[in-house]
Amino acid sequence: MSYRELTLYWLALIALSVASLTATHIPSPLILLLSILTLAFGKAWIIVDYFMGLRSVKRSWRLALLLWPLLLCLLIGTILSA
Amino acid sequence: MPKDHSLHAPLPGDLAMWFFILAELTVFALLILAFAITERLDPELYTLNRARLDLSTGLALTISLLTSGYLAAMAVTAIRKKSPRLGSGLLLGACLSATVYTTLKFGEYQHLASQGLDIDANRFFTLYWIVTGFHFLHVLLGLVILAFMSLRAWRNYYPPEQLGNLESGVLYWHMVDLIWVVLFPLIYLPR
Repeated sequence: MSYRELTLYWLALIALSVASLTATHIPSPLILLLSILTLAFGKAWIIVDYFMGLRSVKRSWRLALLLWPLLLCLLIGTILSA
Repeated sequence: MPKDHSLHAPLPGDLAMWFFILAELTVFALLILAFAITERLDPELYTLNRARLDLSTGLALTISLLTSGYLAAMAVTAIRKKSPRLGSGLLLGACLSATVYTTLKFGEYQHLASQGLDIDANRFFTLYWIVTGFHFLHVLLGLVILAFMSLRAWRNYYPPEQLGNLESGVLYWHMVDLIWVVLFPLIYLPR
């Protein structure tokens, strides 16, 4: 991973974090919940694939690490929107 | 999902570290789900008490951790490119950024405790202190690891062909980041 690529992903992480704060102004509670969970998963994806370097390794490890935020965000969304 | 690759790169770090990370993530997943389930049982209590947390502090905590993770990832790249001194400086930068997190978090803890919002205040703050406190302990350990690796990189103890220990230490730090990006919206963001 080059310095430039890492810098771009870091900027994307900051942008997603700021976006999650902006999303708190969404009037619909359900869309707000889905938005902040989607943004959280987006950040987790960048960390797993690019900071942890799992994008190009054996798929099982990458899936295991990506399933953690994916399942957690889905479960949180299901629990809080039920 | 991005497509599979037929030629796989080697798994960074030590295999034991990956199993450790999976175990840690499982523990945090249980704590995070406990937080969500208890919120579902009493949403008003959580809305009321979440409003007592400062959102801008939450964002600053997030940015400091993400910046620290970024600098740690840059350090691994630098050391792979045979620039150990640059890598050491980047690891030190990661430490400093993590120190911003610990300072802010400690300030937040002090503020909440002074308001009587300690671990016994109510169910929201019981879980807040347990989950964020457990994460905070991981940050403190990560800080020590980053400082230790910075020193070792400065002394050129990481030859580019033997980066397993360095990668494992940095992976631990990314795990701390990964947990935080899920904790942050659950604990801080109003809904």
